[in-house]
Formats: sequence, structure tokens, C-alpha cells
Amino acid sequence: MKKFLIALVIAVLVVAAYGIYQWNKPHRDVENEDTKLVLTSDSLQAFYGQSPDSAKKMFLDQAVVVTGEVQSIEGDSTTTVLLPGAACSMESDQLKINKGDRVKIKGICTGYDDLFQEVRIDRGVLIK
Amino acid sequence: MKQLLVIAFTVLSTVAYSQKYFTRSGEISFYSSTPVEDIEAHSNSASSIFDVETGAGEFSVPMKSFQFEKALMQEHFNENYVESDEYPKGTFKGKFTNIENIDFSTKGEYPVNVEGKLTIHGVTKEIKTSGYFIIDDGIKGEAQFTVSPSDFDIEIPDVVRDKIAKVIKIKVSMNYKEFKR
Repeated sequence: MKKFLIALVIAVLVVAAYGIYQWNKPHRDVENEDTKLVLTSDSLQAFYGQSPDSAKKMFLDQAVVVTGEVQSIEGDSTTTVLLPGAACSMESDQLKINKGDRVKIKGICTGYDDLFQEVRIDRGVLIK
Repeated sequence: MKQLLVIAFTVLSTVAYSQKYFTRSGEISFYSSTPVEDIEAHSNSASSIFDVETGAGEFSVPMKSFQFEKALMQEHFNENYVESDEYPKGTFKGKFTNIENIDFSTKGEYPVNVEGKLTIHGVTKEIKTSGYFIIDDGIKGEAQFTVSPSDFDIEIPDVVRDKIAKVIKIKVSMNYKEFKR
């Protein structure tokens, strides 16, 4: 009986710990996520333009690294870096980059925006 | 002289017919409030374009860009409720119906009426709401409306029924800039 009670208490604790872990589990750490999806921003746009369905399967919600030349930097609520064919919402507002720089941005691909015909990257960070 | 007229006319007609404003960093937030729990989520990645002349406007927001306080809630939102792998964006396509009452060259706050089609989770519904345009150095557009998850075929399981409101408040705030081609 005693053994049974001990086992029960342990089981309850394990379930509770798992619940608490789930409830408080950290957000995705995009910056340190491994990814093999490294490509130029305009080729990512071309993927989406040519075969939206397979592009969705391959890129949506994945960490990607896009490279390209900065077309413009805009935005007020969040800084958005425009690369050819991709708009990247950045985590930081203090970016030491200028129009014309070639940059590498890592972030989550959140899909294709038909309004501007470009791919959206969220939670972007500059990488070397 | 004739050439000059043609040029002047072309310039004028471009100004008159294609004055569009846009943003790629519009804010959309939603709020679910019940006695048990308040939940909110925010996106700063909504894109929007509207035409000053016709009042036609639209926005598009990646569902994956909504950030919740709890990662678990964000996961449930994406996987179970809006099914964002299948339906990656929310869109609105509509019209500011009283655009002619707004003087975009004079600073101030102008009430606007909006109506159009809102698509979430692959389901399209007509919505009608009102908001404001605040004309300052740029144009800020703000609106609020409510939606019911059930209208968009979003099923809320029994276990969490008390925690998720039947009516969700959505706030939209866009800082528009002039669209130059």
C-alpha cells in the first residue's frame, strides 16, 4: 500500500512538472535554430511564385536564412528590411545597415504576401 | 507648349488617380477576455495598401506572426484553431465608404466607415465597422471590430471553452506612408 502511494505521488509530480513545463515552455529561439534553408531572397520569392504549394510545404514556419541587397528600411512599430522579393520584420530596431548593403537575415518564413508579391520573414536577425 | 501640357496632364492625372498609401508593419492585435483568463496576441507584420481616391483598401497578415505571451498558447492557436499551416494568412479586402469626407491635406482626426470581406481560416465573412484616420505627417488608420471564432469554423474544444471568449476583439492600427513607384 505504501509503495502504491509513493508511486502515485511520484506520478502526480511528474504529470504536474510536465504541465508546468508545457505551460511555461520558452518561445522559439530562431537565432540558434539550425537550418539548411539558405538562399537568396529573390530565389525564395521565385519558389513561391512558381509553385506556391510546394514552397509552402518547404518553407512555411521554418527558420530560413535569406541573403540580398537592402532595398529600403522602413517601419515604425517594427523595423522592416526590404530585400528583393522578401520583407523581413526584425527583432531589433537598432540595425547598423544601410540601403545597398548585402545582408544575411535569419528568421521564420511566415508565408507569401499577395499585396506586395513578396515573401514575409518574421523575427529576423542579422547574421554574419 | 503642347508637350508641356501633355506632361502636366500626365503628372496631374497620376496624382489624382493613383495616390496610394501603404505599410508593411501594421499592428493587429486580438483580445479574448473571460472571467477565467485574458488572452492577447499581437502582430506587427500586417501589410496594407489603400487608395485615397477610391477608398479601396486591403490588408494581409501572416497568422504565424502573432505573438502570444505563452509559447503554448501560440502553438495551440496555430495548430488547433486557425490551422496556420493550411491557412497561413488572414486577409481583408474592402472599402472606406466615406473617403470623400476626409481631407487628407488637413491635419486632424476623421471618423471612417469600413466594410468588406474578412478571410480567416479559409472562411470569408462580411464585416462592417468604423474607425479613425489621423492625419498628421503621415496617415494613421485605426479600427476595432469583433469576430466570433465559430463564424470562421474555428472549433473550441470543451476543455478550454471557459477560457476562450465567444467574441474576440480585434484592433487594427496602421501607419501609412505614400506609395511611390
